[in-house]
Amino acid sequence: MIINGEKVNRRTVLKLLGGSALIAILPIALSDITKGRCYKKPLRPPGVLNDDEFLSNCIRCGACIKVCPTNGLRPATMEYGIKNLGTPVLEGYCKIYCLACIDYCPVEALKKVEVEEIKLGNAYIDQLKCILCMRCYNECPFKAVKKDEKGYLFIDNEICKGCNLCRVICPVDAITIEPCD
Amino acid sequence: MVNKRRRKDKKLRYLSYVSRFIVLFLFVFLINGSLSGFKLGGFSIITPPEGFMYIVSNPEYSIFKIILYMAPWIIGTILLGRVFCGYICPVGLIIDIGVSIRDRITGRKLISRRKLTINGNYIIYVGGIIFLIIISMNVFLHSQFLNWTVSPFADFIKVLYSFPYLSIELIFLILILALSIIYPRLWCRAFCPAGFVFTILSILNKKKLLSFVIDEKLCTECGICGLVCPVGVCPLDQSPACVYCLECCDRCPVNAIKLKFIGPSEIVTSEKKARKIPVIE
Repeated sequence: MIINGEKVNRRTVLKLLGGSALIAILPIALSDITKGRCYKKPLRPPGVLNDDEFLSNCIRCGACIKVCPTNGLRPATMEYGIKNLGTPVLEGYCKIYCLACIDYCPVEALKKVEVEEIKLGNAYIDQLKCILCMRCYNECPFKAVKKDEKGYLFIDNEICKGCNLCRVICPVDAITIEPCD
Repeated sequence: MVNKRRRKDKKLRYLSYVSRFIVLFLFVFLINGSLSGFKLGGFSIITPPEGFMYIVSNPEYSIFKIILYMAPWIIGTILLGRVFCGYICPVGLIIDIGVSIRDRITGRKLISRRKLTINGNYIIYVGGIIFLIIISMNVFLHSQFLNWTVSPFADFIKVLYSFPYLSIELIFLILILALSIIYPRLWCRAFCPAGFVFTILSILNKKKLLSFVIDEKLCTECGICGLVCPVGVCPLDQSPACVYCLECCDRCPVNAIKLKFIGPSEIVTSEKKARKIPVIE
C-alpha cells in the first residue's frame, strides 16, 4: 500500500486499524462513567424538539450563540456534562418571536417552528424566597405570572413559554426553570 | 532577476498573513457563525470533518445535502491542495505568530526536527487515528460531543462568548499554541483531523494548480528546504501535505525554488530524491 508517495507495510495498516478499533470501545466505558453523575439539564433555544436528536444534529459551530440579539445563549461548559459540551444553552433570556438562531443554523439542528408552538420550559416560583417585588409580574411578556387570592405570585405554565426573563430579573433567585424535552 | 523573484515570494507570504487576519476578523465580527459552519446568503457551508461526523451520527439526514454544504472546501482542496491550512485557517495564524515571537525572543530560527516525521507521512498516522476514533465514538453515542476537538475554528467564538469562565476550548487552544512553539505546526501535520481530511482530498489530484518548480541548474541539494518546512515535507516531493507557506522559497540560499500557478509539476530525477534528506542529529 502506498500512502503519500511512500510505502506503508500491511502490518502497520493492520496495527492502525486494530488500535483504532480498540479505542473505539472507549466511549462505552465513558458513557458508563458519565451515566451515574447528575449534571444540570440545559435550557435549549427555540427549535429543539427532541434533545437527543438535537445532540446528534448539532455541529457545535456557535452560529446561534453569535446571532442571539439578547446575548442570552452561551456555549455549555462541563457543568452540563461532556455530551453537551459546546452546545447552545439559554442563560440569559429569549425574545421568543425573533427566531434568529433558527434562521442561521447551517445544518437544521434547530428546526423551523411556529411562534405559538414554542415551549422551552416550565417556571416555578419558590414561595419561601419570593419578596413580592412584582418585577416578574410587571415584566413578563406573556402575562403568565398571576396573583392568587392571598396575593402570592404563581406562574401559569399553560401560558408560560420558559423564556427565562423572570429568572434573569428576579433579585432573590426565587424562580427556577425546568427545561422540557 | 533573483531579487525580483524573492520579493514576489515575500509578497505571497504576507498575503497568507493578511488573508488569515481578514478571515479571523470576518468570523469574529461580521459573519454569523464560525469557520466550521456558517450561512451566507441562505446557503450553508461547513468544513469536511464536521460534515463526515454529521453523516455518521445522523444517517437519516440527506447525505447529498451535507456533501453540497461541504462542496466549496472539497472542490477548493482538490484543485489547489491544502490552501485552507495555509491561507484561511486562523489556528495556523496563531501558531505562526507564536513561532515568530519565539524567533524574535531567541534571536534564531529553529529548524523543525525531521526526526518527528516518520517517512514524512506522520499526518496519516496520528491524525487519521484521531479522526477514526472520534467518528467511531459518535457512532456509538449518537452525539457529536467530540466535535470541539475536531475543529478549533469554532473555538475562537466559544471562547469569546463564555469569556468570564474558563472553557475547555480555551485550554485546548493554549495547548495547541504551546505545542507549536516547541515544534512549529506539529498540530497541523500530525493531529488536526481537518488537516487529515484535506491531505486525503489533495492526494486525489496529482496535478494541482499550485506546484513547486525547482531550478536544477541552481539547486545545490543542500536539503535546507526539507529541514525548514513546518509540515515536515520537502518541495521535491510535491507532497499533498504541503500547506503552501512558502518557507522553503524564502529560505533557499540560491533561490532555486519557486511556486508555479498553472502547469505540470517538474519531474525530479531519482538520484536527487535519494539525496534530499540529510541526516542531522
